[in-house]
Amino acid sequence: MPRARADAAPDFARFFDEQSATLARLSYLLVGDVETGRDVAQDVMTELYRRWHRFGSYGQALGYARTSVVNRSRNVLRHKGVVDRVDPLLRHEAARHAPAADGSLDRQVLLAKVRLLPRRQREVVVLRYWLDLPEAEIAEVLGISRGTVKSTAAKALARLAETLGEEAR
Amino acid sequence: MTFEDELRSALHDEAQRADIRLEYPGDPAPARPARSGRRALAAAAATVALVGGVLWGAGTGGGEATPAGRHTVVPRHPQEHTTKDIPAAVSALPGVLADLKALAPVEDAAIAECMRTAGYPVLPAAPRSYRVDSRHEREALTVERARADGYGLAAVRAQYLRDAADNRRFEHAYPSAEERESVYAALIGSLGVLPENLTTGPVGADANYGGCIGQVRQQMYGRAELARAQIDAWPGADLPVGGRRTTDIPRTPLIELADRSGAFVAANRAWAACMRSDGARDLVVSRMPAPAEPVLAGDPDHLMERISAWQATGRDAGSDAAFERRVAVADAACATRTGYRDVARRLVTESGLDPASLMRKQPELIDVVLDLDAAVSRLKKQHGID
Repeated sequence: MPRARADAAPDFARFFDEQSATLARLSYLLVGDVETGRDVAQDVMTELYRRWHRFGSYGQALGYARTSVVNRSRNVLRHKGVVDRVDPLLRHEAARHAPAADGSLDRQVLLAKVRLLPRRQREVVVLRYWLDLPEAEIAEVLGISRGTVKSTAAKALARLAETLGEEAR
Repeated sequence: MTFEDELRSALHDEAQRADIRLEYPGDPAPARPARSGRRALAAAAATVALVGGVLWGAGTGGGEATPAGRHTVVPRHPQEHTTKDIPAAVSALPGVLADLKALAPVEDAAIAECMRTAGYPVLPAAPRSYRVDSRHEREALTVERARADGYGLAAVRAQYLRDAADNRRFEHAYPSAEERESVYAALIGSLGVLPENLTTGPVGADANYGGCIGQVRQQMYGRAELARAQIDAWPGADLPVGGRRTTDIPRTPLIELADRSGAFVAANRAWAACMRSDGARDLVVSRMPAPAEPVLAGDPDHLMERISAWQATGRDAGSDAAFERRVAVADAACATRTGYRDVARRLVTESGLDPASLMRKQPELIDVVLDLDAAVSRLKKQHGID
């Protein structure tokens, strides 16, 4: 095994234990498929392992990993877009969900609506409300300004509320 | 519980449901389980080799064809071209689009044969609907046009109904999600594994999916497959500009610009309120008024969503033409009355989609058009298409 990997192995092992499942779930929430989320995170972890000696800190590696997961998930979604286009029955699956009879918020409908958000809005929602990242870190992961994070989150919430409200009417 | 708390809680629960364990990269790699579509892909690849041989014929078209799944296209940098190349590319574009349409049945037959050999004789409406021939002329919705034929859904309704029938047959043939995943894997490659030779062109289009579609197209178009993908990703490729036809309308930048525009947000709200006051609430029930929708009024995707919206309300989209016209007239009138149309047009200019900007972007398309022109000319000759 190359020296750099051997030196870095203990830290990487800790990083893997602590972050691998979270990164896979991050991808899962972005792409909506467990197997794909696992594959994306596995690829990122493998890439990280190869480059581990380049990272100066745990935080730096984590930031890199989160950005990689988001970027790779985008690529998968672009690919997945073909399936959605070729199968309108799948594409509008979310629209077929009916609100709960008692008027309460149906979580599956809510999650379906999150998946239908524009790409950046979906990413901001997942990073903010699932990973609980502060605006500055979301901005770093996505490569956008803090102001854009804030406005994107507001638009996403408004969009979710509006589409859910309209369905309930 | 606030809405944000509901959202947070839903995402946490959903993430927890996914029991995901990864393999440690440093361990000796255990054999990963074969994906369901793997065997089908292997069979598909064998078929494509056969189909490709037929497509390219003996000694005629193999020049630029490369082994399936190993072709990587590196586009030349646009700056390597000079302005003298532009007229040739622009004048070739209408012919290229027509040729692609003429070659579509050849492509369909090869894909279908590939899929049959892989064990999947029933296909969704996929290969047909995802191509140049599904495009419609783009123009802003006017009251006059809306009064005459609504959103123009009649033009796409018949195709939609045929596609829906194909998809029902497809669902019936492969009722489980696992079976359908296998079909898609054979058709376009596995979703979880990006093709090694994935190539991204200047407009962000992936040139090369896996599966029967990707492999057949590689066999047919060779190096020009990237060019074909770019044309596909540029739905406004046949936009008339200054008496000639050129290409563009990347939708995403326009929508992102609209998202950032306070004027557009305000106009959008006013437009939506106007629509509701005209009693069109049931039409917009399933989605927000789409940003820049009047600008993209001819987009088949948007028209399809409108049809779906109707179906969600229980209306019969197949016969309610009067309803379509009434809502389309309200849509066009509201867009004018609320200033939505003016704001949308301004955004088109700001996003570089006005005719002057399009002309400036033409050097980026030279590779795309000229590569494709050469490939489709050769294919037409090979298949005896006039």
